[in-house]
Amino acid sequence: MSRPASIERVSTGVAGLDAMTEGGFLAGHTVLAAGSPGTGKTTLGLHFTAAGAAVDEPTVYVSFEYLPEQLYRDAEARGWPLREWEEAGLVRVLCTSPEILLGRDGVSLLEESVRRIGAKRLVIDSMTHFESLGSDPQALRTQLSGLVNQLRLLGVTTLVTHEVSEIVGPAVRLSTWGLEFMVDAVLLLRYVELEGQLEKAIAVLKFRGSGHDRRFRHIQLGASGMTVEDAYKGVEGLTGGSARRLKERARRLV
Amino acid sequence: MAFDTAQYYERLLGDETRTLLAWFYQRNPGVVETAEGLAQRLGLRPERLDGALADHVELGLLARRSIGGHDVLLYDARRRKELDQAVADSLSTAGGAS
Repeated sequence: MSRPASIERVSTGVAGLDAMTEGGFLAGHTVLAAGSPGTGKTTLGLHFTAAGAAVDEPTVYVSFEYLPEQLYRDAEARGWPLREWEEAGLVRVLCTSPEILLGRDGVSLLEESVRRIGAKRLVIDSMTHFESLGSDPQALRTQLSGLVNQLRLLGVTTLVTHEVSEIVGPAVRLSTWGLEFMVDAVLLLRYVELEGQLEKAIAVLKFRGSGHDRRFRHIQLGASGMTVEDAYKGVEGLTGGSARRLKERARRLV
Repeated sequence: MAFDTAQYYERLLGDETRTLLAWFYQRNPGVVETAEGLAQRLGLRPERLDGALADHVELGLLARRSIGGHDVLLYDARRRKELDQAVADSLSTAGGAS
């Protein structure tokens, strides 16, 4: 007997992130990966796409700025033949504008593309470009809320990325229009400064319908993509971006 | 009717703009844009693209469609393969005849 859709798991393609989320994203959910430039948002999107191709779950990958050739190249460098998958109908890479993707009336490009290849997965990289739709945050929020509802109706599991402009520091604003409240799960990718070095870390901030790891974990971005490593232990101040080892702090207090 | 290779290449690569357009879509088949948006991505004034776009549409490489209320251009990578195959067949026939 198949499990109800709401508890089916969809692998993220990153073993360590699957472990942090008790088995991957929940099918049909929309997940936000918010992070500073260079923290692995696009890499995560490619992992998610590759994981779909591995189990014959087609993915629509939407990019607004990055051209398809750049994505093919980045994927190829990690051993993922994105273009071949596209020719086999397992992936559709779209490069367009937010206005065209959502459409004004009738069937949108998004809906048409998902239906055409029978996509089970969707990546939108990145939602930051939706700011070009207008300067009224309330109108934008209404439009994006409509998008998230549309994704639920389409039945796709969606990973959306969003750029966080702060590199380090205590203030992290995930989005100016409350995207983090509309989605089902939120991943934070950020830099942390530890002993004079910038490291990359990931945390699951929100995950509707399931438990999840609540610790920051160190991530590495290498030739094979993203690897989630051990949780930070004996360290405080990670959410502020500037971490300290607790032993050193104790020494200073003596 | 025999495939006109010379005319095909003239339409596809006849000048700098046509070559740029063909090169761009060959590498980026998933770009879905309005004519203005495409010109912007290529760093050209929209009117400079008109002739090249018309030829790409004529060849069946680009289709003009209204999607979600926007008039956009969609690239047909399969059509490009068909045309390249037609060129190959045409050259093969010409080679055999000589």
